Amino acid sequence: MPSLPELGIYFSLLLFITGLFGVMFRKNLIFMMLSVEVMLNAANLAFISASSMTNTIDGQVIMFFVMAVAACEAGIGLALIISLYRAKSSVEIDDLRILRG
Amino acid sequence: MQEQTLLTLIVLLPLVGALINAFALRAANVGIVCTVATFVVALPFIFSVMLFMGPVIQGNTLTVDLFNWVSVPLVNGKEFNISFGLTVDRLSGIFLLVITGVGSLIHMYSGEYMHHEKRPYRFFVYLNLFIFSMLLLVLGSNMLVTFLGWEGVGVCSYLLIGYWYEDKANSMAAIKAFIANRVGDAGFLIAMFLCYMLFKTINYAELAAIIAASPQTFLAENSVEITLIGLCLLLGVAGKSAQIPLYTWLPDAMAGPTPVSALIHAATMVTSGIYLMNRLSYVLVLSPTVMTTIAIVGAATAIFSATIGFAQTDIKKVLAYSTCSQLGYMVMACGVGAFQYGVSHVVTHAFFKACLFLGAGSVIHALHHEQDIRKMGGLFKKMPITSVTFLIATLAIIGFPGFSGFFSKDAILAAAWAGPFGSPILWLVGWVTAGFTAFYMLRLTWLVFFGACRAEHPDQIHETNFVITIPLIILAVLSIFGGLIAIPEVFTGKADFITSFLSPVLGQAQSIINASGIHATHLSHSMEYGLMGASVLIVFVGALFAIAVYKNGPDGGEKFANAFGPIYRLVRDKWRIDELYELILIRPLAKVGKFLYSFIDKIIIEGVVNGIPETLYTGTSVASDAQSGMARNYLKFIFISVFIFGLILFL
Repeated sequence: MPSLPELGIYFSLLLFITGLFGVMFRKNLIFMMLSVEVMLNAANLAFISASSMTNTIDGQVIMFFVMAVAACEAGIGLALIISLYRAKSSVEIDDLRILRG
Repeated sequence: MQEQTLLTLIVLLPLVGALINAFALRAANVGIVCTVATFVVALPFIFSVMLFMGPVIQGNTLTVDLFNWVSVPLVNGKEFNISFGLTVDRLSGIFLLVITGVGSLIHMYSGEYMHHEKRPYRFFVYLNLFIFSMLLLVLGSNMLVTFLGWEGVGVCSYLLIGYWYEDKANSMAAIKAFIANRVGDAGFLIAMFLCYMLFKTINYAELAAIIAASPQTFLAENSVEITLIGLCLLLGVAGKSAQIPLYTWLPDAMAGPTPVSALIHAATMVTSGIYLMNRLSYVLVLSPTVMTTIAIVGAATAIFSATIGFAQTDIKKVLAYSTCSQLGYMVMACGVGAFQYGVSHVVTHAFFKACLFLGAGSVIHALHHEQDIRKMGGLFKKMPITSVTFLIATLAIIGFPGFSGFFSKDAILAAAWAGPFGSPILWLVGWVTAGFTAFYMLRLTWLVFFGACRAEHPDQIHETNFVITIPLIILAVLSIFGGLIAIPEVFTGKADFITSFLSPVLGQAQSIINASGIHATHLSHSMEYGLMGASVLIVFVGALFAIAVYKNGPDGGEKFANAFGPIYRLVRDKWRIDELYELILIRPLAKVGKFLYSFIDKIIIEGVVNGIPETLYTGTSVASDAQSGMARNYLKFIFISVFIFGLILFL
């Protein structure tokens, strides 16, 4: 039976893969952003677990930084999605391919 | 004024006139344009007379080197220099007078003939450019300047034949003339190259000096090259002067306006071959083979084109074949070694043939562009001045005793018999041709001016105005008296004018002939009278026969034609030479062209040129398809590659 921090690491891996597949296969931008948040939280969980495994505080400090960045990212990302919806009446990622080669 | 300046001005004025008309007078009416164009040719005529009376008649050679034209350093340290030089001596002096004199008359005539044109400036620009090129041709002091003029007259001829280019037939005739001339030009070019290779100069004066100084052994060793030079020159002459095998362009060239036919295709350009042969007489006489070939080509052309003249119904076509035939006489004269009689016939021919063409133009003008002689007739009373001048010119061309053609043609016939390279066979051909000439010319004159009028609106025909008739009268007078330059020795007791006049130019050729041991047969006076009598006889026979056949209009000719049947049809179709050329030259060439186009060009060249970008395009489109623009796809690529790299690092 693995210890609690080890379980945290495994769970963070699961969360990260969930988020990654969400970004890769969802078509709606909002869901993609949510998946990105899931990935960030997976990273946070990994930091905290590692911090408790090594009895250091560094991981927890970085977690706070990441949460702050995630909050900014969510704010800017949602603002971008809204203005994109105004311009294109759509938040589907497949409609945004004007940079196609 | 200085003589050098005069000479330069003679050449430059027509060019200046062309530029003025081309850029300043585009919208001007025909009167102004024609006045400018005539002025810039008439003024050089006056200058030419001044030069002629001055240095030319004294026998001096006047040379102006305008600038250094070509200057190329050679591998062996020397320099290849060609100056843009103009030279006038007695030979070019004569041509100068004919070109500017007849030229200005024809410019004046064109003012009336072309007055229906909407934008006449184009015509006069071409005419002036033609005079400029022709003057360069006869005044060039080396072969390259002559060649420049030679090409220039070819281009102007092309432009003027195709003047009414809206009609496809005219454009085709222009192209035909240009291509036939091009074949001849190639001959001239090769001759020029060979000349430089052998003698290291293409300047006429230097060439003459080098040949005079060359030892016999040098000339004997290089006799093949010298013969080749002569034959290539002959090809050039055949192209420009419409000789067999390249004569077919001249009759088609009649598609141009009539003044053009008179100036370019009768009086001046087509005689440039005779000029060239005279100019390079000292090269040609080095090879008896060349001289004999020239004489045979001339004689063959003379009789061959005369036969075609029998059955033509277009007034200008008859005159065109007659021009070919007369040029044949001139070439034959050069070929038998009597170069000076070629020149005298050029002069008289310029007078009477220009008069004939301008007369024909007057008739065509009065009949509103009707050229078929079967629809003319009886114009003598309606157009007295045209008729009388045309009749005088006809008598001159057939060699009626006392008229100019009689003297110049009989000089040629006597030389054909007795000249250094002559033979009685050549005389016989020339003699028969004289009879043929009399027949077709009298047929033409009779059908146009006598008998019943067969025109559609006989009452509308009247004499053309003075702008047309004055040149006719001047040329008719010259046709009567022009022969004075070649009155033979039997009548006056001293050598004829043209022989002594051109002796400074042709003396070297004469001494080469003498040195080679070929001698002219001496004709006794009684013999000469005999030859003359014979040609007068055949002229009368030909003329009276024509009148007898055609006295009741063209129907008489049909009975005559039916008697000959297939031969008549062959002659009417110009011996089917055009069809023959079509079969043996044009179609195979077109097939080669088609092959080159469909295989070499379409498959090989375009295959390479289009194949490379096509391959690149196909290759890159695969790569560019990866750039789908879909962010999710990029993410997948990133994930897959990170996964692979991680795997590699791990293992």
